[in-house]
Amino acid sequence: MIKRTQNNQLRFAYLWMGIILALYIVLRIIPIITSFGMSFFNWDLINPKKKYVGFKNYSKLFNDDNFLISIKNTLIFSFFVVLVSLSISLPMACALQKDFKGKGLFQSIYFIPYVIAVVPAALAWKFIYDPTGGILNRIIQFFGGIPKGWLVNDKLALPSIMIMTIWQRIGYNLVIFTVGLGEIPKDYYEAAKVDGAGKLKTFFKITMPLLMPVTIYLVIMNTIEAFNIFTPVYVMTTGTQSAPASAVKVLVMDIYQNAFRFFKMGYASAESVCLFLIVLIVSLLQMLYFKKRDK
Amino acid sequence: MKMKTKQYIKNVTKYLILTLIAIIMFFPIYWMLACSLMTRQEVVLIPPHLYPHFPTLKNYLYLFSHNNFLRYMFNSIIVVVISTLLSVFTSVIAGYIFGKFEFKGKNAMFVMVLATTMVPFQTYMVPFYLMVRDMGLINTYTGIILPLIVTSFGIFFIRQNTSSIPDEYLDAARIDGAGEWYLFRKLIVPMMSSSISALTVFQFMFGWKFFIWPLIITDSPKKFTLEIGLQIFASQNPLDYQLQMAGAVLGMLPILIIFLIFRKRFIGGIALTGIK
Amino acid sequence: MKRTKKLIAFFFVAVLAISIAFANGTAEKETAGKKQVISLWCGWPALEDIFTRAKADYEAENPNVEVEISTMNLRDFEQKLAVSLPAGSGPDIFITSEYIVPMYVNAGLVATPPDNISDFVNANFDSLVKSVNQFKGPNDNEARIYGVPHIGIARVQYCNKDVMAEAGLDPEKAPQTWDELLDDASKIVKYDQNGNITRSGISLRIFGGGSGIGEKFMIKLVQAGGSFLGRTADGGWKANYNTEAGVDALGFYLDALYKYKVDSFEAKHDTDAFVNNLTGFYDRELFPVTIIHNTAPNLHFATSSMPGKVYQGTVYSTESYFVSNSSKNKDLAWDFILFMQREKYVKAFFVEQGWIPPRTDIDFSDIFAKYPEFKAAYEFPKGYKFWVYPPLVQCDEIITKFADRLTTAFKDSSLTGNRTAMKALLDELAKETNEILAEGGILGEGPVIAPGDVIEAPENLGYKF
Repeated sequence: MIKRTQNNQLRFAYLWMGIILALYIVLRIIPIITSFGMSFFNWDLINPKKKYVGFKNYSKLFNDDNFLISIKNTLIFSFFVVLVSLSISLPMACALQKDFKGKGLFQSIYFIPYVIAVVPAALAWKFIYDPTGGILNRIIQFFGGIPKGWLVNDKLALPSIMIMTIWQRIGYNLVIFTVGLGEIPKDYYEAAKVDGAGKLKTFFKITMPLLMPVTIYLVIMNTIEAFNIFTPVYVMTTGTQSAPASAVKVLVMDIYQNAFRFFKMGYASAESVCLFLIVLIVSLLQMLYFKKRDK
Repeated sequence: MKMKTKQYIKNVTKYLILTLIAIIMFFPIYWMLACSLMTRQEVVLIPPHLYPHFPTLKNYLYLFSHNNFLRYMFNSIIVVVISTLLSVFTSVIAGYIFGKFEFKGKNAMFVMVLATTMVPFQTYMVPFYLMVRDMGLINTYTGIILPLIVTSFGIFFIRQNTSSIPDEYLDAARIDGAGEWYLFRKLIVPMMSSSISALTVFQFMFGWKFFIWPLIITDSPKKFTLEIGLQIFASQNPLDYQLQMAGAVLGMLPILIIFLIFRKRFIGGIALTGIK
Repeated sequence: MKRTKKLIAFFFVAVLAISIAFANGTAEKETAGKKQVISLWCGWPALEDIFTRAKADYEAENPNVEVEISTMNLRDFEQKLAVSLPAGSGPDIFITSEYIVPMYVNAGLVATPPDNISDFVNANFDSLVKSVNQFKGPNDNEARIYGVPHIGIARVQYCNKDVMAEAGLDPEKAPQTWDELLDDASKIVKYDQNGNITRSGISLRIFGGGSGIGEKFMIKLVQAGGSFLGRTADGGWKANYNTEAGVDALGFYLDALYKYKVDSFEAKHDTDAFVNNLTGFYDRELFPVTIIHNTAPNLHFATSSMPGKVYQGTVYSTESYFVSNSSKNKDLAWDFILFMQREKYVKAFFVEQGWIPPRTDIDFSDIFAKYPEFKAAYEFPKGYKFWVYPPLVQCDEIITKFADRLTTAFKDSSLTGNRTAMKALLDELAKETNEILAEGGILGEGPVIAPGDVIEAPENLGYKF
């Protein structure tokens, strides 16, 4: 009897795991390994010839201004987006801790930007930023200020996109923080009050440390997503009314351009591998940093 | 007395600040709606009209008659619904098996899944595209859905949540003669319903937002998803902001409606994914 | 409750899945049995209207054919073409330029036109457009024409006659040398009390999308007697702009910006500035002609051939209809292309969009009567040089990256007049260009023996007017 159920179990496990694993291998493992492998070749999309070049793509990458600028832009982008969106959402989550009238409404409103798809949001923001027709400049002009080329100016383009991304991420971070805050047992706060600790002290000594795991999770998740940013940059910068490419080029944009515009598949693969390594390293560093701080 | 007024002032300030933030955050969406109801001239006026003085549905009419917007919506819905169902299904089964079964090679398999969790799609999209091309699936629904069928995040998430299911309960059912599939359907799934719906919500949103892949893989307007169609439409009409905004509203409408209906589920679902 | 919801969901999806499969299936059946479908892709959304009208006419004449027109912005179009043609899933007809199509021809992805098409093209198009559209496919012994030309556009100079007159210049005398141009521009430029330009003398292309900047720079390069890429004795390609001519070209921009101060980054640019009398001269294709007539009917303007330093010259590019080799309806595709050659549509593209048809068999005098400015597209001074895009896969990357660097260079006023520094900069850029060429395996050894991208206007274009 027991033997039969055990056999049943094994059959079930192997059957379903087999199917899913097969899917997994085809849809994830093979492409990832191929990506790695392709980085050692040169290939354009159209000619079936593939030329082996060893590590040349990688050495070229490190001499490539475009690549280096992309890394710089992506790093700046991620750093500020993560920092600002978390810094704004944490106090907001604290404010939304206690139940009060309209709490649900507020939460929903803050969450909506995260829910809606990226393209409509990017288009809306693109219009808001538009130098002539955009509401931002029109308001500035109305008050007699100098309108700015938000998406056209080298220095303003990336920050403008950052603002939009932060706007979208706040909702998500807010919800996760709220959950994390809710997990903290009320007794701790009671004890602190009894001890006479002020609001700020409580926050730093009790809330922050207990919020660590959630914070780590959010930092890493947000960083990974920021590193892989593509859609808003693509939508807001295609067309003639755009800043010179180098001001807003982020890594995935560069990969996309190398692969599907310049038809350098091998080169783009090498770049993808670099992207992956960078994300991996940054995430590990972040984890280490926070673990250290915990002590 | 003093404490009460102090408390009152604190409350009012809190409400004010929260409302202010809410207005700022909601403004772009409001603006989308407002501009979609304006005419071409009104939408760029100086001084700007903050609300449509003569609201009109002309833009929406234009979109539906001149364009494949309905088709785009249909495509997006198909892609998202099918991919969500498939990815949730695979994640639940795989997560369950990883969590509740012991068999040879399990750890190796799990490590393999774990290792690829952090690899974002953009990293391997090039070879993925080539593979899809060789399979002849360029510009097909299958091709668009393919990357979304499995998700290691989902597998991991479900696995974490299976630990709350007591083994004895399952064994007892097995001894009673329940088959594995029956067990899965009647016991496991209901017991994990909250995590399953959380994952569904998450996957649904993820599928909806997926842009870069459909961008690469679709080439005929018949297969464009809403996001792609909208982007192409915007680039074809760069100066017709009112049309772009109408399109943007349509683009966000489906998911917004679903969100408003399942509000609690949505936020709860996202929250649950954070507790890992 | 939740179980029923799940069941409903599964049922719903099953129905959905079946209906898709069904729809896909019937779509195939439909195409096979009833209507034949041909698809046309084009990277110029502005043309959609005309194609839609033509499509309606064609379908009326051929009731069992359906034409799918798909226009999208140029970058998306080129990317989709690259993604789909090699996969065999692309359009039946596509419209693209003479520098994009060679790589597809080389890979055997473009259909050879049947004899009646070739004869038509040989008989009815000017010698210039034919000369730049010769390609060699894998089964050809020599280069031949693969498509049916749609347009051939030489960029022209626009002169705002009102502004010229106001500045005391003779509005009928378009500047034809660099010196004349800078001179005229200096008389036209106006500043406010802070020294900012309120009316520029000439509107240069110094920022914006990458390839436009590169293209306009090539114009100056050609006029200075140079070329962008050159050919070497072994058949390879090499950067050729780090020469005295290149320095002259770069110097023109810097002088205009910082020495004569006839243009600036903050001034309004392009057609917008032109119609508002905020500039005297600028260079463009010919679509602004219709726009200016429509939006500023009282503006007096003229187009002219470009001024020169060593030569007079400009940029010339073409777009043609091509048929994909994996098309299942090639005959139908060519038929539709021939249909689009009817005078009615050719003139529609001409007048409505400024798309210059290089047709020697059609009389355009009615159009010239209304829009005399279009004539400059057909009349070239003797010895006029044309810069044409080199037909290399690497071209896009080279020019885009070159333009990026140019934009930065334009902002560096310290380079003005400093020929050594300019040459050093161009040498640096040439190194990058050559690296890209080397990657593609086409970098040549030894000195440049001939320009790779400059041609001269043929003696007789073949026009009857």
